[in-house]
Amino acid sequence: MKTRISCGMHRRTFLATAMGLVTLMAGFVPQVARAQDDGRMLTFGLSANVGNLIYGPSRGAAQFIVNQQLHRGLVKFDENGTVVPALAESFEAVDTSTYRFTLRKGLVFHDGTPIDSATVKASLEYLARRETGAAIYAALSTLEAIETPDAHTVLVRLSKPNASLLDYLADPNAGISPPAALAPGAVNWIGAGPFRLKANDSGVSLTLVKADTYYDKDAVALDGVKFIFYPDSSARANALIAGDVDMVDFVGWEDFERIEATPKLVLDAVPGPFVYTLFNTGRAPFDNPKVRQAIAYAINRDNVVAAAFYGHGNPLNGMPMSPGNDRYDPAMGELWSYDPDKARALLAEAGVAKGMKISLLTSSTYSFFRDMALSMQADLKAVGIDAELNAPDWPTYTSAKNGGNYDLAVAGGAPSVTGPVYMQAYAVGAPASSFGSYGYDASEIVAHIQAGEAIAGDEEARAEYAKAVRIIGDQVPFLPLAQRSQAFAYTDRVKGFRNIPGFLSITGTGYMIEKTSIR
Amino acid sequence: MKRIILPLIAGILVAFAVAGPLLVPVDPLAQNILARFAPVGTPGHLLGTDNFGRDILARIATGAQVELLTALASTMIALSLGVSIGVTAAYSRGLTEDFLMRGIDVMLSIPPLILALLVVAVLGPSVPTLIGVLALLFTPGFARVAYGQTLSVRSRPFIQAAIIFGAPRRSIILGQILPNIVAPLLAQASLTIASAILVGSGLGYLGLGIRPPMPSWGGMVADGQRYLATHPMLMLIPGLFVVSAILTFSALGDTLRTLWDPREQGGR
Amino acid sequence: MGLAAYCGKRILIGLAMIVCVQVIIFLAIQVVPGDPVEAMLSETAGIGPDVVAALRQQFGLDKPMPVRLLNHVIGLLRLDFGISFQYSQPAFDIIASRLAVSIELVVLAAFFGITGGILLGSLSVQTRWGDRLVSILGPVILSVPGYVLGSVLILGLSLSLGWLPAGGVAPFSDPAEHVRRLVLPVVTLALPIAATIAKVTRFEILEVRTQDWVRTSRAYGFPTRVTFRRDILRNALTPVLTISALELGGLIGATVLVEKVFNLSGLGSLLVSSVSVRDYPLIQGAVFVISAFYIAINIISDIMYGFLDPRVSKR
Repeated sequence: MKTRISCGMHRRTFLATAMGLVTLMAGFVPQVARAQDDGRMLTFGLSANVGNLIYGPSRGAAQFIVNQQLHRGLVKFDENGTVVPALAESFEAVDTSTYRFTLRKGLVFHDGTPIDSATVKASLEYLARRETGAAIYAALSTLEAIETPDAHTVLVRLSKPNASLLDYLADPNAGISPPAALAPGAVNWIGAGPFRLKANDSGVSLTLVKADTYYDKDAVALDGVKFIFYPDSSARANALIAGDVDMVDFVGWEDFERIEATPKLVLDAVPGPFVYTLFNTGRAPFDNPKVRQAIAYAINRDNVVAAAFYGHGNPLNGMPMSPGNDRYDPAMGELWSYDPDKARALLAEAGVAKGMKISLLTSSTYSFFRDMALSMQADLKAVGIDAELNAPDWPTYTSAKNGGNYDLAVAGGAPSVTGPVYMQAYAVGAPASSFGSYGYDASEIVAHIQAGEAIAGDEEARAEYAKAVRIIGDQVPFLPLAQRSQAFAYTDRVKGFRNIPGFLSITGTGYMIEKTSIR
Repeated sequence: MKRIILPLIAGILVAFAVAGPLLVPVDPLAQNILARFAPVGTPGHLLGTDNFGRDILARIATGAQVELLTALASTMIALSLGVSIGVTAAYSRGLTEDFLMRGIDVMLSIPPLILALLVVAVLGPSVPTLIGVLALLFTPGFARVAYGQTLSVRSRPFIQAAIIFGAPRRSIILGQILPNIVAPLLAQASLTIASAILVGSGLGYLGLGIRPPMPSWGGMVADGQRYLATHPMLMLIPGLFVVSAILTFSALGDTLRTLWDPREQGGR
Repeated sequence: MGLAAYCGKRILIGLAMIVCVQVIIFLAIQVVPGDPVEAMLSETAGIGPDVVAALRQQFGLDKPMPVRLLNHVIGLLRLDFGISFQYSQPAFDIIASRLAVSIELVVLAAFFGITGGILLGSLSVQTRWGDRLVSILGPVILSVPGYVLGSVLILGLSLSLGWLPAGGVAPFSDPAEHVRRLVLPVVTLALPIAATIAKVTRFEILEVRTQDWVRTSRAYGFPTRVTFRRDILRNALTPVLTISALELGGLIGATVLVEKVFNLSGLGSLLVSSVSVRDYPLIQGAVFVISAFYIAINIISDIMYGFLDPRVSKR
């Protein structure tokens, strides 16, 4: 009966091991606090795990929001999307390529290290280095010199006029950071923002508490913010509905109704970033502007909004524009329309045969990318174009897009500046700009945009931008199709928060948390 | 009798799905955004429509053909590959055996998920890719069954006799060993078809299945899940069909195995 | 060959296999299209090829492949997988925090699945309803993919009835909530295990029941219950536990579908998201942990076999 005995022991050992492991886990499993009973702590369900903060590069919308609590730049956006002083108590444009900033007195980082003009200079020069891969590199690539006449004055000289420099400096990735963070791969948790890091439960949550070092600390109502990561959008919505969190970012479009139908929840949705189409202008048929125009008339934007955004978005017939910026002209939004007959006529004119086969690049990583392509595929079929879908994961999609390995491609845009200068990055073709159509030469458009940037007066500048947009209307270097609804949602105990409409919903709204209070 | 009622219903559902397009010829890709989220029982759309207004029955039917085709094809490939490896290893012994069977162990210790993710990332999602991935995943299973069976058959007197009498290796393998291990392999094959549907639809659920807009059941469940709170049928209908197909083939496999192994029969 | 030598050989082979898997995965991710740096910069304006090249250098991706492979294998010896590209923190730390979630899930699911399965399997040979339950419902449960079962449970118990939360993790400091949140995912994982184990237990019991010593025990007049517990169940359990161990080894990292359904950040979902941004250090590290688990469990079960059945180690 030897077998029997060893077998019995075995079972007991197994059970004991199992129980032991479970008990052991108690010490390891990360902690998640519930939203209630936390006083003036805001519990925020964040749409992505932000990992370690690194100074400079953009790592997506969720990281922007965290950056904006811990870090602060020379300037920031207010609730209307206007650039206002932050670490700089005042700023002035000496001319369109020279800016003077006067720093507040007594600025310090969370660890007490003082901030003076030299700190700012080192920070900005680090962002201007190519190998940093900074989000605002495009703006600082023309940096000529930073002068620090005294400890509180910073003079930024550019080699080219740039009317949007202030927008770039208000970017969430342009906070002034301590010298220790200015190295590749160095972590950047210590900043000059309204909150400081208290606990980092890696991969699960971040606990931030109010920083006494913040220059405007008396205006900060919250005791702290606890970010809990909820990458899955329906799980995020469920957490808000269940009361696990007070606020969430990036509400999934299919969850809008569910949140609106829940008492005591507020859905704060604004027209946000846009989706657009790219053309491979390096080869037939989209080397022909007529064929690109045909696509501009072939796509039913209402269907795109319905299919990709569950009806929560605005169709676009021209350039998306940021509200509140005076450099736009309403005509820029009216370039094309949905007109399949005109599309067919243009295709016939261009000599394109019926049943032409093309490849349509999208990504399976985001369902709205795939759904948008599916909706376009049906519209293209209606005008006689047979589009085959190519929907790889995100890195493969990016490589294919940058390498011109497509005919038509779906893309998304979230400009970080409010002015019309944002169009440049989308008009300039890949590989020079990763946002643009492959092989497109946009020198004419760029010339007009840059002319506009050099003009200080909005009225005169608008005329130059309009010329650029007219060329875009004719050449269709990229085709904006819809502006998606970008929503935050929160309980009605949250006061003073506002989702900034337009592009700034992504890059500016995080600045609202320091003005937020919770009952 | 009771035991086969559920598998029978499942089988009928699967047959219904495959025959669906013959009964209701609707284009599974035709979109009608205005008619989206039509409920079950809508005239013209027996099972309703999805978020693009596409007919769910037509998509289930097309999906059925894809799921069953990939499952059958991948099982066939895995069966032939696995049997070749297993029989060769068991028959040759020595270094070849070690090399082949350790290779199988290495294959088994690569997480199936990462294998699928990488292969799909290299080749892009398509039916042949899916068949290849599934075949790769199930080959070790067949190899192990074939190996074990061959080892036990090989030690039997009649094979030993054939070896001693100097019968050619080929004729021993084809004439003596294969016929004696075919029954357990067939049972394994039928169970593998069920697993292939399970794993294949799982890959579809993760977006690693076939190229959209072609429908796959797993992909339909994943899409339906986004609307779980508002339109649960979009998830439940394809889910029901996945379950039915797996149940049908695993019941078939169990029956085959019972026929082959009378020991199990005794217990019933 | 003695038992010790046998164990030593198995462990050496196991280590060689882990290295093999690492090399295969390393080579495979080089073949996969898509570049980690391009993917990471895809949402930053004004990025040209020069910036991409600079960042590739920073991540050490500019070195020749054999050098990187060698560095990786050397790093493995110190359990250093490198710094995650996307999170800028050591891949080891990220994996460790995710592993805790996975292990708790898998251990609980295995525990309930195995005990439940053995119980049901035993009942199925003793009672009529148990027999029906196992032989009719068992195959059905085995046919329901985890992602369908999970969704149905969420739909029924969370969204419709509101009894249990739909997902997420809660801390141990709130034990009631912690357990509440684990119920659905554990049930989803445990049900198919229970069905498998019940099936195997039932088969083994029927097998053992016909053995001579059982008949002898009955003939001596021991009560049926005693005979069942002492003579049948204990002997039937050996193969059942071996199969259970294998189920446990395969489960680590294989819970990705359930993790996705219930928004749990375990090892499986980490692996999927790492592949989807080509975070090489995280991919390598996660594969290392998953394959090491699998291989270790296999070795343990092999050695256990060798211990129970000395003939195996003599081969």
